[in-house]
Amino acid sequence: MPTDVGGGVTYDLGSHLVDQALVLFGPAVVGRSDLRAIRHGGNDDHARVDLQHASGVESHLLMSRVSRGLGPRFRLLGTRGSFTSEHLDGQEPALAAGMSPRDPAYGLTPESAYGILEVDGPDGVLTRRVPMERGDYPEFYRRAARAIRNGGPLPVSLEDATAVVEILHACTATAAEGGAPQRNAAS
Amino acid sequence: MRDLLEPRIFGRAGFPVTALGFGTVAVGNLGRPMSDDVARSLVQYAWDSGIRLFDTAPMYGHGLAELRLAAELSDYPRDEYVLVTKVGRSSPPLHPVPSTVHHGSTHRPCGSTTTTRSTV
Repeated sequence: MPTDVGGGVTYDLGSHLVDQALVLFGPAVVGRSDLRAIRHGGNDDHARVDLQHASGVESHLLMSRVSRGLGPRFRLLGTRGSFTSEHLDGQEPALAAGMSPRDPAYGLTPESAYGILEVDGPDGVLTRRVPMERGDYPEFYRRAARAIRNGGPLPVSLEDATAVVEILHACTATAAEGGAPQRNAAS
Repeated sequence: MRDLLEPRIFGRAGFPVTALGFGTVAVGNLGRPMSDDVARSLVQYAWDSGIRLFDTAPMYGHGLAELRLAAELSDYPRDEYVLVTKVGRSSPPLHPVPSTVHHGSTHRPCGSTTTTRSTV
């Protein structure tokens, strides 16, 4: 199967980024997308997707399998304040280190990894660290188990999942019109 | 509570599968490496537990999960289980693949030839 009819990092990691943007800021359309296949012979492995939400928010999503550093995980920019989080919550490193989700400390993020809020104050910019909400991946699995066992609601609704796929489809369709994903010559 | 091994119909495809499937991204060494023996015993445990739906992908360890799954499942009757994999995704490894994982001409990820060198 030719790689240009398959999906790369946009469909893979991008599905999570688009999902987060839709959950946080509501329905959106694709403003612009740029998918690249930097590694020779593969699908898109580096992509930028700009979403325009009906709420007025704009999201700029960056996903890559070829960059060592991408900058902050989250950055929120408002007229009078901004929030920057360099990290996700502490679950991934904890799990990688072998911590059980049943451990009382599971899901807690060390203060050193908190995000930073900057807002305009009466005497200049106020800066403070904002505690990370306790992470709880297991809740997804508890809900998934209930849905499978008892036929209850799925942890992610089909409507929400479909909305993500529609965005991803629009990104890849846009790319296809321009003969993309763009391929760099092999070095 | 419904029986998790009771057959259910897979989407609109029409064939029955067990409600629980066995996913193999960990068998492809995601997160941390495991030995061939451990991988094989996991698949065997899933089978002995009654699971008859197995899910894999060329992306899981650049073919490693498919090979390990095949090593164990080939011992069982093919018409007694459903195997799910994916197509259309290709991502040549950026770093050289360790020799224990390298499979050269015996297997190639879907859609492209295997390369062990970065082109960036």
